[in-house]
Amino acid sequence: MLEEQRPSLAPTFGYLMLGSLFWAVHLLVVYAAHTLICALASSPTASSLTVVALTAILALPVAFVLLNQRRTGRWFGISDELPDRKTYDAISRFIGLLSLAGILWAGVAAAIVSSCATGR
Amino acid sequence: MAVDRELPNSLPRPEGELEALERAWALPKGFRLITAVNNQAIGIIYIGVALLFFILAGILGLIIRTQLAVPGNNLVGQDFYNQLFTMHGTTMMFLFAVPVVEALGVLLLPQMLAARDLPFPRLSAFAMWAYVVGGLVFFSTILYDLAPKGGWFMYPPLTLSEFSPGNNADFWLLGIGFIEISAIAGAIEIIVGTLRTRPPGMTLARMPIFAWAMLIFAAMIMIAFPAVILATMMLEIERAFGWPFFSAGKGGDPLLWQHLFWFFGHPEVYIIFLPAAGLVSMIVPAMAQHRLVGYRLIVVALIATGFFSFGLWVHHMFTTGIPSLSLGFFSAASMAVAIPSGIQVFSWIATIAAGRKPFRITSASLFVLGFLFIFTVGGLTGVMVALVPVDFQVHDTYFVVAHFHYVLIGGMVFPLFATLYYWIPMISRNMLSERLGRWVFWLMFIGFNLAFFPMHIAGLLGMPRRVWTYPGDLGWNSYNMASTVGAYILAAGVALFVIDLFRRFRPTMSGGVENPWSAGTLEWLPSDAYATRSIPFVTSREPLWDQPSLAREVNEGRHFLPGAPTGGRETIVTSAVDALPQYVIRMPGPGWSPLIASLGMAGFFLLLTVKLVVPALISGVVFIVAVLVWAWSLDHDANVPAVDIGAGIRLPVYMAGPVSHSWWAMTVLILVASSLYLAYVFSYFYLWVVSPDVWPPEGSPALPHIFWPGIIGLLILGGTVLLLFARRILPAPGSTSRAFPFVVALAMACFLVALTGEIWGHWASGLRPADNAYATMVYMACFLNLQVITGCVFLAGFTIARYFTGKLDKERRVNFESTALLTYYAAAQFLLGLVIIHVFPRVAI
Repeated sequence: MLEEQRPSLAPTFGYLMLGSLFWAVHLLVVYAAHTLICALASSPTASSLTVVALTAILALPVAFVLLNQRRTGRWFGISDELPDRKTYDAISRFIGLLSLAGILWAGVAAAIVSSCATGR
Repeated sequence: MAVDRELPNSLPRPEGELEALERAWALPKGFRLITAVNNQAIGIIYIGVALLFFILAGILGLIIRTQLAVPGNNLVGQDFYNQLFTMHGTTMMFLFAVPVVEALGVLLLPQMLAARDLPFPRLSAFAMWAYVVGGLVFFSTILYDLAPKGGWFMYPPLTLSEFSPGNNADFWLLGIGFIEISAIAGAIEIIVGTLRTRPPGMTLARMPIFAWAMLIFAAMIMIAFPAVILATMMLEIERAFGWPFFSAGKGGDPLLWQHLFWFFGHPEVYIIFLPAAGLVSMIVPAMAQHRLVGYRLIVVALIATGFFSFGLWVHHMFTTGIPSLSLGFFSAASMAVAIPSGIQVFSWIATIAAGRKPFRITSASLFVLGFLFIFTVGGLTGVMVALVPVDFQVHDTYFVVAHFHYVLIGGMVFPLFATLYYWIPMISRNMLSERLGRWVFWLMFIGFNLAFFPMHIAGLLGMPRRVWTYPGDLGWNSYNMASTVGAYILAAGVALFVIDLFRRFRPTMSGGVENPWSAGTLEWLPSDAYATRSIPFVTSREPLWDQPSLAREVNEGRHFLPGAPTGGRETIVTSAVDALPQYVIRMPGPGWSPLIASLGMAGFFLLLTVKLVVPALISGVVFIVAVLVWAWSLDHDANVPAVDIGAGIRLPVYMAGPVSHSWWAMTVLILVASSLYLAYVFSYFYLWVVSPDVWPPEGSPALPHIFWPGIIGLLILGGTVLLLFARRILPAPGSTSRAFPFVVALAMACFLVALTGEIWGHWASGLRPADNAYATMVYMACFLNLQVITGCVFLAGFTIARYFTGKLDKERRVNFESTALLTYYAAAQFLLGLVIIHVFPRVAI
């Protein structure tokens, strides 16, 4: 019954939602960086390169987590002995996969559309 | 007879145990029933009122359809038509869809978690009454030609006072802000309830899907609603005082409203849909008599949908002139969100297919199947409008109207009707009629598709939304007539349902129909006003299927907390992840304060809208007094011995610190406040990007000298340190600490002086809030700090009063902790604001 023996909520949810958090950070930074570069520097090339770089930077850790799921779980304090460990691993893994797809899918836009031209 | 397992409590139960439980949880009688706070009572009234708003908004929809049935119609005038569609959308979204979902949470969550109630019953009552009073007054504006007419998303500049004079838009802004406060109160309740009042053994991985959905729903409310609260505050301030947040002439930008509104507005769709999907995930396994296929994937889908939904808001703004690459990001996210939605659809189909017996076709299952069809169609047209070129073509046409009605009615109303048919037996002596239920379904299904499918074609033919009439030679006539006929058939289905409801629904807390669907989840345990006789120990996701004797054991009082050991209302608080018992929470019983507080708050907002300042202030005082009376009774005596809940477990009945539910509630409230402040930070930088020319040094008076914010920052840090010191000198039980109230008061004084200094510094520099967008953002930061610091000062005053009445000491310290937590947050917000306001303009390019 001692509190310190129990898995705590924030790390558990952090582990479950890790991929989504990276996805959210990716959307935030590519949108903000691209908007700022276009508004202040009017440089489509710099804008596109920044988006590609940010996409790579944020996709790599998600891929790393996917390849090292259990180790990442332990970093978040999810003990191997926890009865629901497999469930948490599976949820975290699938969310990571979806998020990686989301990051790459959004990043690909930099290769397809012109960066600073207004859409309409 | 099955051999009994080793259970937490043994038979026979002590004499009088059940009677004590019944006494503690008894409902008030007669007219005092309105003071009830039991979740079943609150939930039933809450759902009833939400359905009333659904019908009222539906009637407005029928008037709209009647007006549009034929070209050149003049059944209603143009101005009233504008009020009709604004109120139809606003009522459906704000007064029906979100509240009904919260109401279902209040009603169903404690039953599914076998908790005796949610942890803050009076907060539930307050949220419900605030919604009822505010909602009814707001809706009644349509009767007096006072209803807003700027559309449910109220875009400026149309809604600025120059173009929308009168009080109509103010009713929307203040009314909606008020209803959102109610929604946030409900969300806090749901988050803490779901995470902390689950039965022992119900780990996160064993939670019912509906509980997962409600958890994510409430978290989304915490993040999304503050954005629109900030937006409504800013628009109301601009209308009332001329601070130019949205006026382009002074550096503001109308598109800022769209960003803030849709950062709320698009997640709102999923805020409505996710709980509905959660309900479907509960109904399908019961009807298929098979465990949900892909439980983990459904959890993945819920979490991913919750996240992705915050990356879609710009798809409502594709035609506003945003750079192409940004459109690409949001188009990608809009398509990506279809994947988790698809996961859920396939999971439900797989569960239906996996059942050993044929899927039972009941009224509830028909509505689920109807939902699957309609929502899938809506999802497909959603992918279409996520494509930027398609969106350019169909933007603001009836194609979009068709799309979102397929998503919202398919994704929310059909599951809601399934829910009503499925769960009414839990709270009624009778089930609803299955025969009439089929009629209701087919009328609604056929009527819906006839009403809304032709709108796709009308939209593709170019019919714009929100036109009050149209010429007869554009090829739209037959589609509009079909839509109108369909709308009336849909309404007939709803009317038949209402008739059946009046005929068959007989609310009860103790004599519900016994598990008519042979479902596996805890809400079908025998229950009474006190919920279940004892709180079960749970070992799987479908306890009633895996522990066949559970209902009998629970009803005999053989599981946890079978009585009322302190003589009052209690439930078990468990740890958030693995659901181990931690302490017993004592909860308040019936009382007038939530009702009076909601009336006071409604009076304050609504009287302020019509500029009756003195009555509004009196209402505000009524609200504050009612809240003080309510809060005074919450922090119980800490010196009560631990109680035995069974299995040799003795739990404390008082808890302070990070384990306590009040600490969690304050933390959630702080997250809401920080979401609001982040929305402000976004707005500040957005306006700077749009209009850097109004920022200092060129566009505005020079900032106060850098020493000025330095001194203010030191004052804030000083106040924080004083509060940390106050924690150390809290008196031991039975003793006093003369310095304590002085130190707390001094800490608050530091904050007030700092705030006054910050405002004075800008005022003395010659900056006035109505000057330009920069000035508005500077003073808005002060206003947001004023809000939080006012809360801290009230809480501090309350804490000092508790100290002087001997109700605060080192053990009994929940009030102080709440004050301290909020004050630490206020300090962080203030310091961040100082950096943004005083440092950023100095270093910006």
